Amino acid sequence: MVNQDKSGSTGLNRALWLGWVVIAALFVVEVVEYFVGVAMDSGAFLFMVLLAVPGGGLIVWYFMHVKQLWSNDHADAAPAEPGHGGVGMNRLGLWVFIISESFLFAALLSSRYFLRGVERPDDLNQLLGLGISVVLLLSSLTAFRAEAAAEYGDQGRFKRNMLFTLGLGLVFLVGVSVEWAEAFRHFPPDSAFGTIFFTMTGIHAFHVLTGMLVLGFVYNMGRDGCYGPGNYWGVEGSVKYWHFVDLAWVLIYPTLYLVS
Amino acid sequence: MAALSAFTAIGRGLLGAAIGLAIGWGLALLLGALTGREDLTQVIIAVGYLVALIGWLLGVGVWSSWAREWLRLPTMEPTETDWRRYFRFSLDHKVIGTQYLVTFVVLMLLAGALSMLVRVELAAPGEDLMDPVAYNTVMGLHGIMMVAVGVATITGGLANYLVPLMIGAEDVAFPRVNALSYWIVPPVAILLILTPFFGGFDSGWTAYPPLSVVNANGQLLFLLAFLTFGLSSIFGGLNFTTTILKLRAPGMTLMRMPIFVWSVLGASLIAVTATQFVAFGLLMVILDRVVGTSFFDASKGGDPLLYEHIFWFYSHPAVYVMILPGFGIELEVVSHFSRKPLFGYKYVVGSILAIVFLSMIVWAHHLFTSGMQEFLLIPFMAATELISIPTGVIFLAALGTMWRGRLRLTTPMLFALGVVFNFLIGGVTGIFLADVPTDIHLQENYFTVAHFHYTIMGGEIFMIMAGLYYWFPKITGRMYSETLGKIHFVTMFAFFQLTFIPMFWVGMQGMNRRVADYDAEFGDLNQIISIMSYLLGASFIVMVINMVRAWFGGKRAAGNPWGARTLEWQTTSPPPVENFDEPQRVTGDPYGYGTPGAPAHSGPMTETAGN
Repeated sequence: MVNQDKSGSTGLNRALWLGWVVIAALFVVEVVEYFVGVAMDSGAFLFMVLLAVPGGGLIVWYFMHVKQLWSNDHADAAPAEPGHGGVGMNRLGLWVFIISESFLFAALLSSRYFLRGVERPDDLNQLLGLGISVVLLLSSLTAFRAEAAAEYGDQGRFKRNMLFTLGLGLVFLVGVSVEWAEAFRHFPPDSAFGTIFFTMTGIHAFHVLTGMLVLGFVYNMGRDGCYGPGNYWGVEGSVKYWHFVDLAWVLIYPTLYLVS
Repeated sequence: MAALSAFTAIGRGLLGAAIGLAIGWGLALLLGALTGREDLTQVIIAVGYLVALIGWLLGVGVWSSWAREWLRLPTMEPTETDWRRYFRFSLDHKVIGTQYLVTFVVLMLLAGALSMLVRVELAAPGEDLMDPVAYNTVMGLHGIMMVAVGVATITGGLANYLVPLMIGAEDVAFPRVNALSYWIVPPVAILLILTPFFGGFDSGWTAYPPLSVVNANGQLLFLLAFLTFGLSSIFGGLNFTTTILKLRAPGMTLMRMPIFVWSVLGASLIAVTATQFVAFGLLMVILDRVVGTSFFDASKGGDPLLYEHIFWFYSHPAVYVMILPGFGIELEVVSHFSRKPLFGYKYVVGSILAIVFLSMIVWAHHLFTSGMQEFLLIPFMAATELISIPTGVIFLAALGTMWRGRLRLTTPMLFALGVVFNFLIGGVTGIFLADVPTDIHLQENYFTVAHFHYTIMGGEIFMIMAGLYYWFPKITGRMYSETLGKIHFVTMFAFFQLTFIPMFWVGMQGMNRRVADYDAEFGDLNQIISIMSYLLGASFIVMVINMVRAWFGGKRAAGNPWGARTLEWQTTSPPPVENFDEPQRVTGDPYGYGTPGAPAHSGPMTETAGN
């Protein structure tokens, strides 16, 4: 729907507006989860699942554009030359990678429930948890805006939003470090909950770090304006991966902090 | 000088690894100083290896032909066209396929030699050659190396070489990821070879905690090697899934794909998903060892059963990563040498997809005696038995294809026929291991060893042999000696039976697996098993002589020596760099043998355009 008018600013404005709506919905999900999780002592698990799944669905549908895999919008269905798959091929490859990675996070989540059930220590810094979640969601919005800007050839907006995304990623990592310093005192890595806590946040932070590296390389390559309408796969790919890292956190956050 | 220049890439890789090791070592010491930890050996191994691996990859070619792009520098790719390209970070799927094949056939022979050592120890009761730790290390090395051979010889080697040819593509979807997936393998081999110098690993290839958390440092090397190999497998699966779904020639619809391509797709789907689980399982053991987490320390709230679940969630599907492409080879060979269409093609495709799904829900049949919750026994028993239905359909398709066919008993066909016999025995004995009551008695003895080897060696390794002989002329452009090939088949088949049939018997009598010693009453039979296994090992010498001789001096092979219809045979042997002289258009069924007026499977686009 946004691909009809590549040159005009209407398409871009609609995309940017959509980004705000989606992020607002995600904030609502996250905040409701937070208050329910903090207020209730037990039984919140089903509620968390009921909220986290549609929340993740919003990211997959509106931010990661899963529909591109089967829609013909981009005319990938008939590659010009046999043996050259084009952007459609790169996109499928990235999705296969994302599905593969989601199995890693599935293993992480199931290990948490297998070992500790829904145990939740009182020493968790709930406000900090909510804070870094909001920061990471916000970085998904800026990444989305960077991609839309590249798609419509708005170089200034593209570069600005890439830097915002990298900055928010850094803030998230600083938040995790603060959290680790606190967690070392309350539940060190050799304790039962600490084992889970440090492994989950550690593996996720590692993904944030790799995502920032990729975004950084793409920003560096795109500084001279090489990305534009019809040629922005580098941006799309790196941003999709970033959204996936965010999606993983949308599931990890209630699993670590809120269920009880 | 020209010859030396072939090894510059490897030299740079080794230099990168050395620098990386030094950096990683320094990092580990720094970490130690910061945290005040006393014993840093494992930290040095883990961090040093990680950085050395990155250094190796950057040096061997990732930097020059890939990473430079990220920093807006021009990339450089190797340009050799002679034998030297096999030692470079080549992006040609045919070169990578050959690299994989040679590496893993050599690994197979090494791992086979290790099994000979195992049989020397077991030839007589008592400790003869090795102490228990050495025995367990040798057995574990045999296991893990053969698992790697089973996973990568077909999906890494044959599939890499053949899938793009079979679907009419110029190359795979992501050639650089493809090269990366190969060049990750040498560090794996080096780590495994080094394990005995670090005290070995006495956990076997399954590396169950708590033992694998507390034993010698060789275990850590093993864990890192397995984890790295998993990465290679994921990259390979990612590449093939995308290649098969996106790079097919015009007219190559999904239901016109050769069955080997379907089977590789199935194996790739398992590899990209389930492998993440074993990677995480191994990572947990590494964290317990190096960082001091308590995933498996029951006194601190951990649970070793978690590892068994996570490990087998991958490692059972892994046997389908091995056997599915094997089935593909089997059906290709049977159809082409029976000169008959593949029987029940659609049902075979459905069965492959059913196996992909079912393989994910059977893992806990490895845990029947582990003490897991009892209500899980029956569902996993039922799911396991369910998977024998699609497997049976594939088996039936092989028989139905041969039925009333005009069989040509070439060497590949003989191996394919051998599989029918072996896999029948392997499959029928598997039923007793899927059933909870019989499994409780049989799972810890040689019945299980014999069953496993009948499916994986008698099944997959025989299928690999069929594939190697079948595609040998295509890959090398030379013809092997049929006489030697048949001698190899007859000796391998006969001594395989004589080695493993007695194992069913000693197993049922109660001879335990996994241990270096056994009750004296089994001495006679074990002596026979050992002698037969040496002869089985010797049969591979015939193969090596045959293939090496043919590769360097055999008579030239035609483009299509077997008269097969699939696309890979419609080009020269070996194929040109672009695979086909002109783009191909697919117009018919790959298995339309014996149908009067059946259209050719394919032709150049220019001739048949507009059909």
